[in-house]
Amino acid sequence: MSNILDIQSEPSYRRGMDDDQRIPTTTSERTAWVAAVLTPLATAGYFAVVLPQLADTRVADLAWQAPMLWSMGLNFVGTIVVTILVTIVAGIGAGLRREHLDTSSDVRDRDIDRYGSRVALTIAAGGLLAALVLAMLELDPFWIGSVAFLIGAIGATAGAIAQLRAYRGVFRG
Amino acid sequence: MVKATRVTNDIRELRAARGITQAELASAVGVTRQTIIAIEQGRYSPSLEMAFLIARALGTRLDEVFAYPAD
Repeated sequence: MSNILDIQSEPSYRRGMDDDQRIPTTTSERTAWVAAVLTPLATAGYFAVVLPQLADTRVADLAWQAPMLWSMGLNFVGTIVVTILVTIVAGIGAGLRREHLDTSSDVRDRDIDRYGSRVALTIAAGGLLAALVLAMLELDPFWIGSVAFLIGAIGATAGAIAQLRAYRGVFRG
Repeated sequence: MVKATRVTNDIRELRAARGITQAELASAVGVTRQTIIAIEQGRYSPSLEMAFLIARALGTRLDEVFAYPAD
């Protein structure tokens, strides 16, 4: 048959099977790992900077906008930088094991990415609803912004964890 | 906990019989090696198109690669 892989003539004992090699991570999985770690850290950093101010500052006078923007920016840039670093390290590790580092993505990666986004957006929608309720109650913008930010971060983290579970467990799409 | 798919397959045995590695099959089908591993282990159900591509790459019929057992 012409479509069959043209490698059958060489015996498998000489070619060596790769079944027992470690299961490789894909680029999307590595990105999910980075997001699952960095998003909680960046969010915790924001609250670590802002919440202590509540002890001696009125809520209306809190300087929360800049720390939140810094947290978002560092999370965004950090995810890109750390993903690149992790990919470099993975490439070095693969080279040492004489394996090829696959940096491509396929339909399963895209399915899992969509699944993670769906989880994240579902939770983020809850954050939007919570922010609306707080706005209706005319709470200070600090509380509205912080609650929306926190639930958005929880959603992003949950989405990344859902992706990781799908990568290493059963994923039915 | 998501249950494993009920679709069974003989990809591993067919590969072994033909001396085809996971990486080679993945390359022939156009997916990552991780996807081939997930399909072999019943952790991912391929699309019908991908199933046909796998069967074609193994040089066999679809129903010789995949099966859906009755209750």
